[in-house]
Amino acid sequence: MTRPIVIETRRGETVEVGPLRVTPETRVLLLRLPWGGWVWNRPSAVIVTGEGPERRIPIPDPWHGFRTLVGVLLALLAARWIVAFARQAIVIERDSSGG
Amino acid sequence: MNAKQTEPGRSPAPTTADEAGAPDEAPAMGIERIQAASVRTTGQAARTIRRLFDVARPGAVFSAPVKAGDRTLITASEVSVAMGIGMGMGAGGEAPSETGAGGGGGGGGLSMGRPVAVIAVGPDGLEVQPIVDPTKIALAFFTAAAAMFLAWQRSRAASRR
Repeated sequence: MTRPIVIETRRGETVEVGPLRVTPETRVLLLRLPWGGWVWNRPSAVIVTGEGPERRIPIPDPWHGFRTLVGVLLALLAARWIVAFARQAIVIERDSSGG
Repeated sequence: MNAKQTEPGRSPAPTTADEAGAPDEAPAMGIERIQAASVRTTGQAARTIRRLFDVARPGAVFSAPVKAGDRTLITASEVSVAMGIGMGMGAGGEAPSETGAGGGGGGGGLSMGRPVAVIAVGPDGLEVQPIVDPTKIALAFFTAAAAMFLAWQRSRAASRR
């Protein structure tokens, strides 16, 4: 059975470049909906073999880190905003009921 | 003036599905035609959605190796694709002799690709070089900072009231 949400690491076909064997590795987020879906695929590392032991070289992505940081900060601000408005609504309700 | 003027020797092309059909066709045939078209469209939609998930393959992210001098280069890109399709059909009528049927559908999608890094394999080994766009990061930083400042001010004002 196909899962509606898939988050996994996938390895691609190995490419031989000179003495080295390079295998790409990606992180995939897959969302299956009844009439559509969303796929997010980003490179995470390359696995290098051929000279010495197997090495996993991560692919740095500064933009991804920045985007994650901004997302977390915006989520925290949104949470704070919701709490502030909820408190305000409670106070208004209390005042209007004559408490 | 006749709006449906045609070239000599050519018959006027039908403009709608109703005009294309036989004039004395029973309404039930219309519903059957719509159902058949709906089945065909559903099949096409399912095939399109299946192709969407091809993007999840690692081959969609890493390019084929390209020789440049004594180096071999592989580009790694981030890929994001989203798609949605919707369809509907219905039939009905007021009097027993007046029946009608209709259907419709629509869809939308979004795709995004961004180069992340270049993998260079040369005589001195393998090197991963990230691709950074400082203008994009600076613009995003100032936009996000302004949005956060506004949100923070509004939440402060709300908590003071």
